[in-house]
Amino acid sequence: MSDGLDMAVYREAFLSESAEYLQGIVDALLTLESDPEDLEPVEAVFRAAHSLKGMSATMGYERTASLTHTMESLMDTVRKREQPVTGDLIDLVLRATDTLRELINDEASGGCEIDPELMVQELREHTDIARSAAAAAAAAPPVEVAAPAGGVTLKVTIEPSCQLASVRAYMVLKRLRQLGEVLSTSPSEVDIDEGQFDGSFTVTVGTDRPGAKLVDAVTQITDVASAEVVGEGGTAAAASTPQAAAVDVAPEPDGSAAVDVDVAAAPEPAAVPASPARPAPDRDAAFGRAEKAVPKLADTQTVRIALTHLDTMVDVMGELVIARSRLENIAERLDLRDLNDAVSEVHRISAELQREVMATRMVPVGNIFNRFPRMVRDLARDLGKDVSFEVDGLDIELDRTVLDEIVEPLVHLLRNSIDHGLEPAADRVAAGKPERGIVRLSAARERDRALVTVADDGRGMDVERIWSAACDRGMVAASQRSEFTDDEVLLLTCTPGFSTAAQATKVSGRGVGMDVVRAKVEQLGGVLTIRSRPGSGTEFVLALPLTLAIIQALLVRSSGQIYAIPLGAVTEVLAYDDLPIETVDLHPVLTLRDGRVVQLDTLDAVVGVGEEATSPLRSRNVVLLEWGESARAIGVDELVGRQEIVIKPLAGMFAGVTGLSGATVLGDGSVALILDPRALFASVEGPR
Amino acid sequence: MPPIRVLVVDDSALVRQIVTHVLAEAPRMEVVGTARNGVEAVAAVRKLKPDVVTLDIQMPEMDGLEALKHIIRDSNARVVMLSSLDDPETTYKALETGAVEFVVKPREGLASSMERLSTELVRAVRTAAGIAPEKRVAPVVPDATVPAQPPLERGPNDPSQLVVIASSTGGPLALERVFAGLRSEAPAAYLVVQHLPAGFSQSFASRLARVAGFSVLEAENGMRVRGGVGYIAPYGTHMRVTGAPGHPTTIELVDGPTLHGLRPSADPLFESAAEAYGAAVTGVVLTGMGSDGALGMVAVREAGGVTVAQDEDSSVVWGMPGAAVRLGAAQYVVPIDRVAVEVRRSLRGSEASS
Repeated sequence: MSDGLDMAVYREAFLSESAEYLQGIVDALLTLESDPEDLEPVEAVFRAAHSLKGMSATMGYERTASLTHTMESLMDTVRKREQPVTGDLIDLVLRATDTLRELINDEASGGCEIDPELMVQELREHTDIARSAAAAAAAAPPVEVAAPAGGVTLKVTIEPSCQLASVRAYMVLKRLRQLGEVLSTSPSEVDIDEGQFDGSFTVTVGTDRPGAKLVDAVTQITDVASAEVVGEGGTAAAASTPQAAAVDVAPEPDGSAAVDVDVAAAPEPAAVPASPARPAPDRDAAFGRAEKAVPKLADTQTVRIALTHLDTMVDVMGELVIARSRLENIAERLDLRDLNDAVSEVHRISAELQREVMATRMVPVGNIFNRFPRMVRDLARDLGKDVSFEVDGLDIELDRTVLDEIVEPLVHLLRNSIDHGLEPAADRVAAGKPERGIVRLSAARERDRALVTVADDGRGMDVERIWSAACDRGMVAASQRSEFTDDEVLLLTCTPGFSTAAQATKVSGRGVGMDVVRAKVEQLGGVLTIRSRPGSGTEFVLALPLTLAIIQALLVRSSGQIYAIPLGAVTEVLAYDDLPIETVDLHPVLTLRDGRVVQLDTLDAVVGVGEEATSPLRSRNVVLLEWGESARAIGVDELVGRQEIVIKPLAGMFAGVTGLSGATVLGDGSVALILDPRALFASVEGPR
Repeated sequence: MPPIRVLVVDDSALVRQIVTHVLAEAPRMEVVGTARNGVEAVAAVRKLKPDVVTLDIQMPEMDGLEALKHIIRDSNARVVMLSSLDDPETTYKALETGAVEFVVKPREGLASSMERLSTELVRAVRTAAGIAPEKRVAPVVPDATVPAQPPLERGPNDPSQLVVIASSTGGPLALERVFAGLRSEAPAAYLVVQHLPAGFSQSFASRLARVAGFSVLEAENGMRVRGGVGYIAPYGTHMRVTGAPGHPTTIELVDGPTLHGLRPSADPLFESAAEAYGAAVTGVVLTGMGSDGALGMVAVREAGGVTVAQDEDSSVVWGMPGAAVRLGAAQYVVPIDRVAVEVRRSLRGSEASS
């Protein structure tokens, strides 16, 4: 039974599950960094490392098992409070996670490139240092043990309908232990554990946390009806415990912090018992919020499917669409009533099937957005900037191919925002803004497009400075300024070779430039817009198609060859004879009804075949294309029809061919070349 | 016969998938649900009322040990722990809490260990399903443990008697109670075949040594047997002894086919002990599924040795002791807490008569 097929299935399962654990580790570490006193994320990292260890041992991946084992040991010392949570510790574990990711890919693909030994050593040293320090501390008399500043007593009530009251109570106590020390409970913990309580119990926690934080933490547990602070300040409850001695030896000066938050917060939980959504002060805006918004896969009924299956399904679906067109051609030719009925039935069913197939490829943007908090953190740390990163719209879905393709542009835009968009803290304060800058990544659905936005509240872009830089570079003439809107001027930054950054920094000096961002978005059939207000920030909006494998196209014929023009770019189809065509500078132009004058070329000339041979005058039809703000008229011999065509994911196969983005097979088996509207307009970029 | 209904609990989707796959292929078994953590497990047990639960230990929300308590309290489900080797203590704790069996998660790669996992898991689930719910937790006994004695340093000391013990399901806890009542002064060596997953015999030996107060070792091939010391057969080989009372006696670990589907099986140990030591052998069969050790008991009995079987009431499964009784090979059939007493009496008796 353990044949190769099973092993391949298990390897797939291993890879997809370990990706989830790796992401979980990174999320937890970032959450931990934003609040190092709350050890809940430490548990998550510990368990993820433990599970990965078990899984990789199961698969026989020894190096992975060894690395995760040392990660688990290190986190164990943190969990036991044998060492504090520091930025360096988080860095170390993040680096270990990076190594782990490479290692897993290496080992799962049967490679032996990655040697984790150095990382294992480093983790082990950190663990040993903490262990020996802890041993020394244990050996010394426990005078130095920091006493909790005071006891907070909570009354916790479990929903009366809950079948698992003792389980929920256990979770409450476990959660509180991550925030401090459970000093006593009433009824006793043993009774609570055995369900011997009437739905509510009180618990006294030794902690220097505000009571409100404890209430927040506890009310997030399922089936907890309410939690309220009924006592604070380490009163009678704490006095009966061994910690009381420590309190006497080293009285903590700061019971006050707990008090002033509690004064404000204490009445509130009673009034609004089950509202965990109340925003906690400051830190909650920072990293880690994203994690809570990610829809858990398990919340919906799902199965895991290998990507290759999805890709194959689309390919096969594409072939079905082609076969269907051929069938329709035949039916049209024969014109038999029964055949026509059957064909239209097939048409309806396959259209429905196609929708479903495309839907299986839809992936929540959260799948890629969730890798950015880590990147933003590292970047902000590198650049010494204080950044609050907000993520929104994680459940918006996009075709997997589109999603994969926008990762790189988003990386670049986020880098840009942090490096160039956000001013240094001093400048921000001088401008009357909060010291911490905000970078926001969001997704939203707008009809059949998804809008992905990267925004910052930084210095904004200076339109006139960009204009003059563009003039300096000879991209535009100063006299043309009135022909450009401000947004269009901003888009000039996306022209190859344009850069206004005073100096290229380590961060945005590498990788793709703005021109590549724009090209990528447009290649996907999307549109990039930039909005910016000096002093208040910049917004990059990527308007993307939800899917791209099958598109509606206009089929035209030119010099015997059939071309497919994506219908999204076609505004109008005109009969040549009715058109007011003039010649300007020996070149035919067309005056539109709204008075605009557009250049007219033959399709052959546009794609560079038989240039001289064909003159627009020979064309019988004209297709009017618009792209962004530009328009262009193309003369063709014949309009063949409108049809759904299948394009395979763009893997750069046709990257070298200007004007064409690929090919598709038509119903009669002939091949149509697909026009790339973006490339058609590249040559007449700029003025209208 | 209705199929055995199993709930699979593990936080790893991979492990859930593997376990479900293995159990689904076994005849007369049905995976009725899966759960990803202790909380889900407790809820699922209430709802689905499975016969058997396979339970992971490290899990989010609520770990396996904590969930186990609730499962035992709320239901009749029999629990098989899915353990990892690096934490044997937790496994023993789980057995004390009411888990009836345990299986080690595969760890040297599925390609090589899938078959082993599959065999062990299916066997463990079947065994567990056959156990009466009320036998899951050993009755609380007054702590009759003999104060721990320091391990004795002694020179070469060839035993004059052998005590051979067979046990299986429910055996770890039963053996602890037997060893707690044994003495090291007696010039006897204790040789044990307890069916354990691979890799557990070392930690189990240490555990027995702690309760016994004398050395208990994981047996190695060629090891010289000494009086006052216990030996646990490791996974994967049969254990035999050669030698004679008061003379150098040696352990042999031999491969060879499984017996009753087991390796080690107790029969080769019992038979070789009877051959080497004749009447100076005490054979003991404790709780366990199947019939291993029964033929061995016959051999011990025929050679003039003493035989003791655990009684039905105190056995988690009265398979092996029952088989010995049915073969007429058990001289004494006693509750678990009397087993050590009978062994000591047997040792004293043959000491007096020799």
